Amino acid sequence: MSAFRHYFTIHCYSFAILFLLYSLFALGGLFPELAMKEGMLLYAMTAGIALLMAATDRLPLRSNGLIAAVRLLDVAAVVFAIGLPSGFIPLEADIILYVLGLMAVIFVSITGLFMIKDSAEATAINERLTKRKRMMNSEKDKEDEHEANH
Amino acid sequence: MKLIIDQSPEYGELEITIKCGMIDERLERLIAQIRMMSSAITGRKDGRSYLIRLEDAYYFESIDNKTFIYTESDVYACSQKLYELEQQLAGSHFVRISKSCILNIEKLASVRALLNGKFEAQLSNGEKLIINRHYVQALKEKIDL
Repeated sequence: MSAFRHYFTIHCYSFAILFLLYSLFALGGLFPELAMKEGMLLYAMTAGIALLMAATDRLPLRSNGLIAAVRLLDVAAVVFAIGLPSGFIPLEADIILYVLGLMAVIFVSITGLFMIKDSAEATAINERLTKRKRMMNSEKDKEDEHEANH
Repeated sequence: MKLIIDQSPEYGELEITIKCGMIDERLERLIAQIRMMSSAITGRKDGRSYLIRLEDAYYFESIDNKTFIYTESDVYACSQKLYELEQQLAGSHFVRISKSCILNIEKLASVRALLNGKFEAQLSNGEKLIINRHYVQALKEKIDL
């Protein structure tokens, strides 16, 4: 998958899930109804987070824990940078935490989905590598046996 | 498979001819192996030049426009550019895994998925390299997956 498709998929999935969750919370009376402007802000947030992730993924990190921490920071940075100046997120600690938690859960879920797919791919590659090594060893054994017989 | 070895003092350069009905996966690997064994590359280290067999090279890496050859425990400088090596090594056991690295898949022990969509490759000497998402498909094709 090309880098653009990968991050665009993250953005689209995230926006769809966020929009759905926000709508459910709004139906339950927890959030105010979503106006057009707020919808666009949510879109800008998920796009911004995907863009920032594309940038921070260039860091030479090899620890999944560290990568997850950087991704959560990406989420926090974009949510604050867009949400606070626009007035979408009021400067109240409990609301900020609530919104951050919601965004983090969405991005962790999306990253998890990709991780499941990538882990399956890694398992398939490892199985193939093991099979190749087994084949090579058996061919080498046959050659050794052939040489020993002559 | 029949193995015919025709040895004579009259022959000069070693010549390998393969007669087959079709090239299957095993034969492809054998051909790649012969290509690797019949090729060597010059590496420099501490002012000396060394001829390194391709089968001994773990990977090639480009750092600051300089190319390096990594063997099990040594690093040699190489005069060729990475893209030149990539062209030269087409059809062998080498595959590009990032903008700056070409890996010998015969030295690849295992891979691990990372959260950022990249893979971490562990080599048979314990070294670890990053496989960029963009090159995963090429690696899979190289190992016939």
